[in-house]
Amino acid sequence: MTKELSALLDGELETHEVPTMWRTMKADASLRDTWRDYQLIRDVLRREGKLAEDITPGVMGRLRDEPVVLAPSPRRQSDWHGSLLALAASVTGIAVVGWLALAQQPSSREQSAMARAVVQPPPAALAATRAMPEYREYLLAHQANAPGLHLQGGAQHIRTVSAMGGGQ
Amino acid sequence: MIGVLTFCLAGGFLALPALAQQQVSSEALQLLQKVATAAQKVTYTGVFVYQNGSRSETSRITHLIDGGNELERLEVLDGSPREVVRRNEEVKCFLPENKLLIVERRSARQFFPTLLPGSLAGLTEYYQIRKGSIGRVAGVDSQSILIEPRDEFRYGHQFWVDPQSGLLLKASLINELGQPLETFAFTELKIGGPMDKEMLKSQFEAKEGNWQIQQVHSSEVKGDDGQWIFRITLPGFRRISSTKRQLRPDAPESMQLIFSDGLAAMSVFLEPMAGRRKEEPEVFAMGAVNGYRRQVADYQVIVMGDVPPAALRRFADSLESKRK
Repeated sequence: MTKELSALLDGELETHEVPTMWRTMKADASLRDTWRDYQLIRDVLRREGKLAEDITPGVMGRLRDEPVVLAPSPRRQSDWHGSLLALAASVTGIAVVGWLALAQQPSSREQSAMARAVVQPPPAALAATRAMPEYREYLLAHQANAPGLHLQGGAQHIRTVSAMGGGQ
Repeated sequence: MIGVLTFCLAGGFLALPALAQQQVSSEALQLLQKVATAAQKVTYTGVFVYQNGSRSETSRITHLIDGGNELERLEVLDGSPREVVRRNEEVKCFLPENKLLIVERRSARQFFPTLLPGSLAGLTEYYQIRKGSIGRVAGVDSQSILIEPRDEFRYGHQFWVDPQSGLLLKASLINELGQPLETFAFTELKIGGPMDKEMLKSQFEAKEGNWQIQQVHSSEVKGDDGQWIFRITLPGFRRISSTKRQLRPDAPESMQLIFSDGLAAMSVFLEPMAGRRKEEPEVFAMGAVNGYRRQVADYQVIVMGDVPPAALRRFADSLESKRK
Protein backbone atom coordinates (compact mmCIF):
# COMPACT_ATOMS: atom_id res chain seq x y z
CA MET A 1 0.00 0.00 0.00
CA THR A 2 2.89 2.36 0.74
CA LYS A 3 3.95 1.95 -2.89
CA GLU A 4 0.62 3.33 -4.10
CA LEU A 5 0.85 6.08 -1.51
CA SER A 6 4.23 7.08 -2.80
CA ALA A 7 2.93 7.01 -6.37
CA LEU A 8 0.03 9.19 -5.33
CA LEU A 9 2.40 11.72 -3.81
CA ASP A 10 4.44 11.81 -6.98
CA GLY A 11 1.32 12.19 -9.10
CA GLU A 12 2.11 8.88 -10.77
CA LEU A 13 -0.95 6.94 -9.67
CA GLU A 14 -3.44 6.02 -12.42
CA THR A 15 -6.35 8.42 -12.41
CA HIS A 16 -8.91 5.67 -11.90
CA GLU A 17 -7.00 4.37 -8.89
CA VAL A 18 -7.01 7.69 -7.08
CA PRO A 19 -10.54 7.58 -5.62
CA THR A 20 -9.96 4.04 -4.27
CA MET A 21 -6.76 5.24 -2.64
CA TRP A 22 -8.53 8.14 -0.94
CA ARG A 23 -11.15 5.75 0.37
CA THR A 24 -8.55 3.36 1.72
CA MET A 25 -6.75 6.20 3.45
CA LYS A 26 -9.96 7.49 4.88
CA ALA A 27 -10.43 4.19 6.67
CA ASP A 28 -6.85 3.66 7.72
CA ALA A 29 -5.36 6.03 10.30
CA SER A 30 -1.86 4.57 10.09
CA LEU A 31 -1.87 5.07 6.34
CA ARG A 32 -2.78 8.71 6.89
CA ASP A 33 0.16 9.03 9.29
CA THR A 34 2.45 7.55 6.65
CA TRP A 35 1.00 10.00 4.13
CA ARG A 36 1.90 12.89 6.41
CA ASP A 37 5.40 11.50 6.92
CA TYR A 38 5.85 11.19 3.16
CA GLN A 39 4.83 14.78 2.68
CA LEU A 40 7.34 15.84 5.29
CA ILE A 41 10.08 13.84 3.61
CA ARG A 42 9.13 15.27 0.23
CA ASP A 43 9.38 18.76 1.59
CA VAL A 44 12.81 18.04 3.01
CA LEU A 45 13.96 16.55 -0.28
CA ARG A 46 12.70 19.55 -2.19
CA ARG A 47 14.29 21.81 0.43
CA GLU A 48 11.08 23.67 0.90
CA GLY A 49 11.45 26.28 3.58
CA LYS A 50 8.23 25.44 5.36
CA LEU A 51 7.86 21.82 6.36
CA ALA A 52 4.43 20.19 6.33
CA GLU A 53 3.88 19.78 10.03
CA ASP A 54 1.12 17.74 11.56
CA ILE A 55 -1.50 20.30 12.44
CA THR A 56 -4.18 17.70 13.06
CA PRO A 57 -4.24 17.78 16.87
CA GLY A 58 -4.28 21.56 16.92
CA VAL A 59 -7.08 21.91 14.44
CA MET A 60 -9.10 19.10 15.98
CA GLY A 61 -8.67 20.74 19.37
CA ARG A 62 -9.95 24.06 18.06
CA LEU A 63 -12.87 22.38 16.35
CA ARG A 64 -13.72 20.47 19.49
CA ASP A 65 -14.18 23.74 21.34
CA GLU A 66 -16.51 25.17 18.76
CA PRO A 67 -20.11 24.30 18.03
CA VAL A 68 -20.69 22.86 14.60
CA VAL A 69 -22.95 24.98 12.43
CA LEU A 70 -25.13 22.99 10.10
CA ALA A 71 -26.40 24.85 7.10
CA PRO A 72 -28.08 23.41 4.02
CA SER A 73 -25.62 22.87 1.23
CA PRO A 74 -26.25 22.37 -2.47
CA ARG A 75 -26.43 18.81 -3.69
CA ARG A 76 -23.07 17.31 -4.43
CA GLN A 77 -22.06 16.80 -8.00
CA SER A 78 -20.85 13.27 -7.77
CA ASP A 79 -19.78 10.76 -5.16
CA TRP A 80 -16.26 10.77 -6.40
CA HIS A 81 -15.94 14.48 -5.94
CA GLY A 82 -17.51 14.28 -2.50
CA SER A 83 -15.30 11.62 -1.05
CA LEU A 84 -12.22 13.28 -2.44
CA LEU A 85 -13.08 16.52 -0.72
CA ALA A 86 -13.94 14.78 2.51
CA LEU A 87 -10.69 12.94 2.51
CA ALA A 88 -8.61 15.92 1.58
CA ALA A 89 -10.15 17.62 4.57
CA SER A 90 -9.50 14.79 6.95
CA VAL A 91 -5.96 14.32 5.73
CA THR A 92 -5.06 17.86 6.59
CA GLY A 93 -6.94 17.40 9.81
CA ILE A 94 -9.96 19.49 9.03
CA ALA A 95 -13.00 17.37 9.61
CA VAL A 96 -15.84 19.15 7.94
CA VAL A 97 -18.28 17.49 10.21
CA GLY A 98 -21.37 19.48 9.42
CA TRP A 99 -20.79 19.10 5.74
CA LEU A 100 -20.30 15.38 6.03
CA ALA A 101 -23.42 14.98 8.10
CA LEU A 102 -25.52 16.82 5.55
CA ALA A 103 -23.85 15.18 2.60
CA GLN A 104 -25.39 11.90 3.63
CA GLN A 105 -28.92 13.20 3.42
CA PRO A 106 -30.69 14.16 0.25
CA SER A 107 -31.42 17.84 0.24
CA SER A 108 -35.08 18.65 0.55
CA ARG A 109 -37.39 21.56 1.07
CA GLU A 110 -37.82 20.74 4.73
CA GLN A 111 -34.14 21.02 5.24
CA SER A 112 -33.87 24.33 3.51
CA ALA A 113 -36.65 25.54 5.76
CA MET A 114 -34.62 24.54 8.77
CA ALA A 115 -32.22 27.29 7.81
CA ARG A 116 -29.49 27.07 10.40
CA ALA A 117 -29.24 24.69 13.24
CA VAL A 118 -26.41 24.57 15.68
CA VAL A 119 -25.63 20.97 16.34
CA GLN A 120 -23.21 20.02 19.04
CA PRO A 121 -23.62 16.27 19.49
CA PRO A 122 -22.59 13.62 17.03
CA PRO A 123 -25.62 11.67 15.80
CA ALA A 124 -24.88 8.71 18.08
CA ALA A 125 -25.34 10.83 21.17
CA LEU A 126 -28.89 11.77 20.32
CA ALA A 127 -30.31 8.61 21.85
CA ALA A 128 -28.76 9.69 25.11
CA THR A 129 -31.42 12.11 26.22
CA ARG A 130 -34.01 9.34 26.43
CA ALA A 131 -34.53 8.31 30.05
CA MET A 132 -34.24 4.55 30.38
CA PRO A 133 -35.40 3.58 33.85
CA GLU A 134 -35.17 -0.15 33.10
CA TYR A 135 -31.38 0.10 32.89
CA ARG A 136 -30.92 2.50 35.81
CA GLU A 137 -29.58 -0.01 38.33
CA TYR A 138 -27.27 -1.54 35.75
CA LEU A 139 -25.77 1.84 34.94
CA LEU A 140 -25.17 2.59 38.60
CA ALA A 141 -23.55 -0.82 39.11
CA HIS A 142 -21.40 -0.27 36.05
CA GLN A 143 -20.31 3.28 36.87
CA ALA A 144 -19.64 2.49 40.52
CA ASN A 145 -17.46 -0.50 39.73
CA ALA A 146 -15.76 0.27 36.45
CA PRO A 147 -12.09 1.13 36.86
CA GLY A 148 -10.20 3.62 34.74
CA LEU A 149 -13.05 6.00 35.23
CA HIS A 150 -11.80 6.64 38.72
CA LEU A 151 -9.31 9.08 37.22
CA GLN A 152 -12.23 11.45 37.57
CA GLY A 153 -12.83 10.55 41.18
CA GLY A 154 -16.44 10.95 42.24
CA ALA A 155 -17.30 12.84 39.09
CA GLN A 156 -17.70 9.47 37.38
CA HIS A 157 -21.14 9.21 38.97
CA ILE A 158 -22.32 12.15 36.95
CA ARG A 159 -22.98 9.74 34.10
CA THR A 160 -25.36 7.80 36.29
CA VAL A 161 -27.35 10.72 37.65
CA SER A 162 -27.26 12.59 34.37
CA ALA A 163 -28.86 9.65 32.57
CA MET A 164 -31.48 9.49 35.34
CA GLY A 165 -32.13 13.17 35.22
CA GLY A 166 -35.70 13.09 33.95
CA GLY A 167 -36.53 16.32 32.09
CA GLN A 168 -35.07 17.83 28.93
CA MET B 1 12.09 8.94 -8.61
CA ILE B 2 11.14 10.65 -5.42
CA GLY B 3 9.03 7.61 -4.71
CA VAL B 4 12.10 5.39 -4.49
CA LEU B 5 14.00 7.87 -2.35
CA THR B 6 11.03 8.18 -0.06
CA PHE B 7 11.17 4.49 0.51
CA CYS B 8 14.83 4.45 1.45
CA LEU B 9 14.65 7.44 3.69
CA ALA B 10 11.46 6.69 5.53
CA GLY B 11 13.06 4.21 7.94
CA GLY B 12 15.87 6.45 9.17
CA PHE B 13 13.68 9.49 9.27
CA LEU B 14 10.99 8.01 11.43
CA ALA B 15 13.27 6.44 14.03
CA LEU B 16 14.23 9.72 15.69
CA PRO B 17 10.77 11.15 16.24
CA ALA B 18 9.72 7.73 17.58
CA LEU B 19 12.36 7.95 20.29
CA ALA B 20 11.32 11.44 21.26
CA GLN B 21 7.74 10.31 21.29
CA GLN B 22 8.54 7.58 23.78
CA GLN B 23 9.96 10.12 26.19
CA VAL B 24 6.97 12.39 25.91
CA SER B 25 4.70 9.43 26.31
CA SER B 26 6.37 8.37 29.56
CA GLU B 27 6.02 11.91 30.94
CA ALA B 28 2.34 11.80 30.08
CA LEU B 29 2.04 8.41 31.76
CA GLN B 30 3.66 9.70 34.93
CA LEU B 31 1.17 12.51 34.99
CA LEU B 32 -1.71 10.04 34.51
CA GLN B 33 -0.33 8.09 37.43
CA LYS B 34 -0.46 11.22 39.51
CA VAL B 35 -4.06 11.81 38.44
CA ALA B 36 -5.08 8.31 39.51
CA THR B 37 -3.59 8.86 42.97
CA ALA B 38 -4.85 12.41 43.39
CA ALA B 39 -8.45 11.42 42.63
CA GLN B 40 -8.40 9.33 45.81
CA LYS B 41 -6.04 11.23 48.10
CA VAL B 42 -6.76 14.91 47.59
CA THR B 43 -9.40 16.86 49.49
CA TYR B 44 -11.22 19.30 47.23
CA THR B 45 -14.53 20.92 46.45
CA GLY B 46 -15.65 22.44 43.20
CA VAL B 47 -18.31 23.06 40.61
CA PHE B 48 -18.16 21.35 37.26
CA VAL B 49 -20.14 21.31 34.05
CA TYR B 50 -20.97 18.02 32.43
CA GLN B 51 -21.89 18.12 28.79
CA ASN B 52 -23.26 15.20 26.89
CA GLY B 53 -24.87 15.68 23.53
CA SER B 54 -27.08 18.72 23.66
CA ARG B 55 -27.46 18.42 27.38
CA SER B 56 -25.34 20.15 29.93
CA GLU B 57 -25.63 20.16 33.69
CA THR B 58 -23.82 21.86 36.52
CA SER B 59 -22.89 19.90 39.62
CA ARG B 60 -20.98 20.42 42.81
CA ILE B 61 -18.54 17.80 44.00
CA THR B 62 -16.82 17.58 47.36
CA HIS B 63 -14.20 15.00 48.22
CA LEU B 64 -12.79 14.67 51.73
CA ILE B 65 -10.17 12.42 53.26
CA ASP B 66 -10.98 12.27 56.94
CA GLY B 67 -9.05 9.99 59.28
CA GLY B 68 -8.59 7.28 56.69
CA ASN B 69 -12.18 7.51 55.45
CA GLU B 70 -12.98 8.69 51.97
CA LEU B 71 -16.14 10.77 51.77
CA GLU B 72 -17.62 12.20 48.64
CA ARG B 73 -20.75 13.99 47.57
CA LEU B 74 -21.95 14.90 44.14
CA GLU B 75 -24.96 17.15 43.86
CA VAL B 76 -26.58 18.11 40.56
CA LEU B 77 -27.42 21.82 40.63
CA ASP B 78 -29.67 21.93 37.55
CA GLY B 79 -33.02 20.21 37.11
CA SER B 80 -33.99 17.66 39.68
CA PRO B 81 -31.47 17.72 42.56
CA ARG B 82 -30.02 14.22 42.23
CA GLU B 83 -27.21 13.27 44.58
CA VAL B 84 -24.58 10.61 44.94
CA VAL B 85 -22.99 10.28 48.36
CA ARG B 86 -20.16 7.87 48.97
CA ARG B 87 -18.50 6.75 52.17
CA ASN B 88 -15.60 4.46 51.31
CA GLU B 89 -17.16 1.63 49.30
CA GLU B 90 -20.80 2.43 49.97
CA VAL B 91 -22.43 4.45 47.22
CA LYS B 92 -25.86 6.01 47.76
CA CYS B 93 -27.72 7.42 44.81
CA PHE B 94 -30.66 9.71 45.66
CA LEU B 95 -33.24 10.22 42.92
CA PRO B 96 -35.72 12.74 44.36
CA GLU B 97 -38.07 12.61 41.35
CA ASN B 98 -38.75 8.97 42.04
CA LYS B 99 -38.19 9.27 45.80
CA LEU B 100 -35.82 6.42 45.27
CA LEU B 101 -32.55 5.69 47.04
CA ILE B 102 -30.32 3.04 45.52
CA VAL B 103 -27.53 1.78 47.74
CA GLU B 104 -24.69 0.04 46.02
CA ARG B 105 -21.53 -1.41 47.57
CA ARG B 106 -18.70 -1.21 45.16
CA SER B 107 -15.92 -3.67 45.29
CA ALA B 108 -12.72 -2.22 46.73
CA ARG B 109 -10.32 -4.73 45.33
CA GLN B 110 -10.61 -3.97 41.66
CA PHE B 111 -9.73 -0.34 42.09
CA PHE B 112 -6.10 -1.05 42.67
CA PRO B 113 -4.79 -2.76 39.55
CA THR B 114 -4.98 0.36 37.41
CA LEU B 115 -3.02 2.28 40.01
CA LEU B 116 0.07 0.20 39.42
CA PRO B 117 2.53 1.89 37.07
CA GLY B 118 3.01 -1.36 35.15
CA SER B 119 -0.57 -1.57 34.03
CA LEU B 120 -0.72 2.10 33.13
CA ALA B 121 2.28 1.57 30.87
CA GLY B 122 0.33 -1.29 29.30
CA LEU B 123 -2.12 1.32 28.03
CA THR B 124 0.35 2.44 25.39
CA GLU B 125 -0.19 -0.82 23.56
CA TYR B 126 -3.75 0.23 22.76
CA TYR B 127 -3.54 4.01 22.99
CA GLN B 128 -1.12 6.61 21.80
CA ILE B 129 -0.55 8.83 24.83
CA ARG B 130 1.18 12.16 24.65
CA LYS B 131 1.35 15.53 26.26
CA GLY B 132 -0.55 18.32 24.59
CA SER B 133 -0.47 22.03 25.15
CA ILE B 134 -0.94 24.03 28.34
CA GLY B 135 -4.35 25.62 28.72
CA ARG B 136 -6.33 27.37 31.40
CA VAL B 137 -9.16 25.46 33.04
CA ALA B 138 -10.98 26.87 36.08
CA GLY B 139 -8.26 29.50 36.36
CA VAL B 140 -5.48 26.94 36.58
CA ASP B 141 -2.75 26.49 33.96
CA SER B 142 -3.26 22.85 33.15
CA GLN B 143 -1.39 20.32 31.09
CA SER B 144 -3.39 18.51 28.46
CA ILE B 145 -2.85 14.83 27.74
CA LEU B 146 -4.03 13.33 24.47
CA ILE B 147 -4.99 9.70 24.44
CA GLU B 148 -5.76 8.31 21.01
CA PRO B 149 -6.93 4.76 20.42
CA ARG B 150 -4.83 2.59 18.14
CA ASP B 151 -7.86 0.64 16.90
CA GLU B 152 -11.62 0.95 16.54
CA PHE B 153 -12.45 -0.89 19.76
CA ARG B 154 -12.15 2.10 22.08
CA TYR B 155 -12.69 5.83 22.27
CA GLY B 156 -10.09 8.53 22.71
CA HIS B 157 -9.70 10.91 25.61
CA GLN B 158 -8.37 14.34 26.23
CA PHE B 159 -7.48 15.26 29.78
CA TRP B 160 -6.44 18.57 31.29
CA VAL B 161 -4.54 18.10 34.51
CA ASP B 162 -3.47 20.46 37.26
CA PRO B 163 0.24 19.54 37.39
CA GLN B 164 0.48 20.68 41.04
CA SER B 165 -2.28 18.63 42.64
CA GLY B 166 -2.70 16.05 39.89
CA LEU B 167 -6.45 16.66 39.80
CA LEU B 168 -8.27 16.21 36.53
CA LEU B 169 -9.75 19.60 35.68
CA LYS B 170 -11.33 18.74 32.37
CA ALA B 171 -11.89 15.51 30.49
CA SER B 172 -13.45 14.67 27.15
CA LEU B 173 -14.35 11.33 25.68
CA ILE B 174 -13.64 11.54 21.96
CA ASN B 175 -15.34 9.49 19.26
CA GLU B 176 -13.88 8.16 16.03
CA LEU B 177 -14.64 11.45 14.24
CA GLY B 178 -12.64 13.38 16.79
CA GLN B 179 -15.76 14.87 18.37
CA PRO B 180 -16.35 14.93 22.10
CA LEU B 181 -19.09 12.55 23.21
CA GLU B 182 -19.04 13.99 26.68
CA THR B 183 -17.02 16.59 28.51
CA PHE B 184 -16.70 17.33 32.14
CA ALA B 185 -14.92 20.50 33.20
CA PHE B 186 -14.43 22.27 36.49
CA THR B 187 -15.45 25.91 36.52
CA GLU B 188 -14.47 26.42 40.13
CA LEU B 189 -12.16 24.41 42.32
CA LYS B 190 -10.80 24.69 45.84
CA ILE B 191 -8.08 22.25 46.77
CA GLY B 192 -7.36 21.26 50.36
CA GLY B 193 -9.17 21.68 53.66
CA PRO B 194 -10.49 22.58 56.05
CA MET B 195 -13.87 21.29 54.98
CA ASP B 196 -17.18 21.51 56.76
CA LYS B 197 -18.38 17.91 57.13
CA GLU B 198 -21.96 19.07 56.62
CA MET B 199 -21.03 19.54 52.98
CA LEU B 200 -20.68 15.79 52.66
CA LYS B 201 -24.19 15.04 53.89
CA SER B 202 -27.06 14.56 51.50
CA GLN B 203 -29.94 16.98 51.93
CA PHE B 204 -32.20 13.92 51.64
CA GLU B 205 -30.45 11.84 54.27
CA ALA B 206 -32.82 12.87 57.07
CA LYS B 207 -35.89 12.21 54.92
CA GLU B 208 -34.95 8.68 54.03
CA GLY B 209 -38.07 7.46 55.82
CA ASN B 210 -40.38 8.53 53.01
CA TRP B 211 -38.15 7.09 50.39
CA GLN B 212 -38.12 3.74 48.78
CA ILE B 213 -34.73 2.23 49.53
CA GLN B 214 -33.30 -0.26 47.11
CA GLN B 215 -30.36 -2.05 48.60
CA VAL B 216 -28.25 -3.85 46.04
CA HIS B 217 -26.76 -7.01 47.47
CA SER B 218 -23.54 -8.13 45.93
CA SER B 219 -20.77 -10.61 46.50
CA GLU B 220 -17.51 -11.26 44.72
CA VAL B 221 -17.27 -14.58 42.95
CA LYS B 222 -14.44 -16.36 41.25
CA GLY B 223 -14.78 -16.71 37.51
CA ASP B 224 -18.19 -16.96 35.88
CA ASP B 225 -19.23 -20.52 36.83
CA GLY B 226 -17.52 -21.64 33.63
CA GLN B 227 -20.91 -21.47 31.95
CA TRP B 228 -20.10 -18.75 29.49
CA ILE B 229 -17.73 -18.34 26.66
CA PHE B 230 -16.87 -15.26 24.60
CA ARG B 231 -15.90 -16.40 21.11
CA ILE B 232 -14.32 -13.02 20.47
CA THR B 233 -12.24 -11.02 22.87
CA LEU B 234 -11.55 -7.37 22.19
CA PRO B 235 -7.80 -6.70 22.19
CA GLY B 236 -6.56 -5.40 25.52
CA PHE B 237 -9.78 -5.99 27.43
CA ARG B 238 -9.25 -8.29 30.41
CA ARG B 239 -11.84 -9.53 32.83
CA ILE B 240 -11.14 -7.73 36.08
CA SER B 241 -14.04 -8.78 38.25
CA SER B 242 -17.00 -11.08 38.63
CA THR B 243 -19.74 -10.15 41.05
CA LYS B 244 -23.10 -11.64 41.90
CA ARG B 245 -25.66 -9.00 42.62
CA GLN B 246 -29.34 -8.54 43.07
CA LEU B 247 -30.06 -5.23 41.44
CA ARG B 248 -33.75 -5.02 42.26
CA PRO B 249 -35.76 -6.78 44.91
CA ASP B 250 -38.10 -8.15 42.24
CA ALA B 251 -35.36 -9.31 39.89
CA PRO B 252 -33.41 -12.57 39.90
CA GLU B 253 -29.78 -12.52 40.98
CA SER B 254 -27.50 -11.51 38.16
CA MET B 255 -23.82 -11.84 37.45
CA GLN B 256 -21.76 -8.80 36.54
CA LEU B 257 -18.50 -9.37 34.71
CA ILE B 258 -16.33 -6.32 34.13
CA PHE B 259 -13.84 -6.13 31.30
CA SER B 260 -11.39 -3.28 30.98
CA ASP B 261 -8.38 -2.15 29.00
CA GLY B 262 -7.37 0.15 31.87
CA LEU B 263 -9.34 3.16 30.64
CA ALA B 264 -12.51 1.91 28.98
CA ALA B 265 -14.73 -0.60 30.72
CA MET B 266 -17.60 -2.87 29.79
CA SER B 267 -19.98 -4.58 32.17
CA VAL B 268 -21.70 -7.78 31.15
CA PHE B 269 -24.81 -8.56 33.18
CA LEU B 270 -26.11 -12.12 32.93
CA GLU B 271 -29.56 -12.67 34.35
CA PRO B 272 -31.84 -15.72 34.17
CA MET B 273 -34.95 -15.00 32.12
CA ALA B 274 -37.01 -16.53 34.92
CA GLY B 275 -40.23 -16.60 32.96
CA ARG B 276 -39.91 -13.12 31.49
CA ARG B 277 -41.13 -12.84 27.95
CA LYS B 278 -38.61 -12.86 25.18
CA GLU B 279 -37.78 -9.56 23.56
CA GLU B 280 -35.94 -8.47 20.48
CA PRO B 281 -32.31 -7.42 20.96
CA GLU B 282 -32.04 -3.75 21.79
CA VAL B 283 -29.29 -1.21 21.27
CA PHE B 284 -29.38 1.77 23.61
CA ALA B 285 -27.28 4.63 24.89
CA MET B 286 -27.28 6.35 28.25
CA GLY B 287 -25.18 9.40 27.66
CA ALA B 288 -21.74 8.31 26.56
CA VAL B 289 -22.38 4.80 27.82
CA ASN B 290 -23.52 2.48 25.06
CA GLY B 291 -25.59 -0.57 25.75
CA TYR B 292 -26.91 -3.68 24.10
CA ARG B 293 -29.38 -6.23 25.36
CA ARG B 294 -29.94 -9.68 23.94
CA GLN B 295 -30.85 -13.17 25.00
CA VAL B 296 -28.56 -16.17 25.14
CA ALA B 297 -30.03 -19.54 26.06
CA ASP B 298 -32.46 -18.72 28.89
CA TYR B 299 -30.49 -15.69 30.04
CA GLN B 300 -30.85 -12.00 29.43
CA VAL B 301 -27.52 -10.41 28.62
CA ILE B 302 -26.96 -6.67 29.02
CA VAL B 303 -23.61 -5.27 27.98
CA MET B 304 -22.78 -1.61 28.61
CA GLY B 305 -19.71 0.54 28.58
CA ASP B 306 -17.92 3.56 27.20
CA VAL B 307 -16.80 1.77 24.07
CA PRO B 308 -18.01 2.28 20.47
CA PRO B 309 -21.37 0.58 19.81
CA ALA B 310 -19.95 -1.69 17.09
CA ALA B 311 -17.25 -3.05 19.40
CA LEU B 312 -19.76 -3.55 22.18
CA ARG B 313 -22.11 -5.49 19.92
CA ARG B 314 -19.38 -7.56 18.46
CA PHE B 315 -18.29 -8.61 21.92
CA ALA B 316 -21.86 -9.22 23.16
CA ASP B 317 -22.79 -11.22 20.08
CA SER B 318 -19.88 -13.57 20.58
CA LEU B 319 -21.20 -14.73 23.95
CA GLU B 320 -22.36 -18.33 24.09
CA SER B 321 -23.63 -20.55 26.82
CA LYS B 322 -21.80 -23.83 27.38
CA ARG B 323 -24.90 -25.49 28.78
CA LYS B 324 -27.11 -26.55 25.97
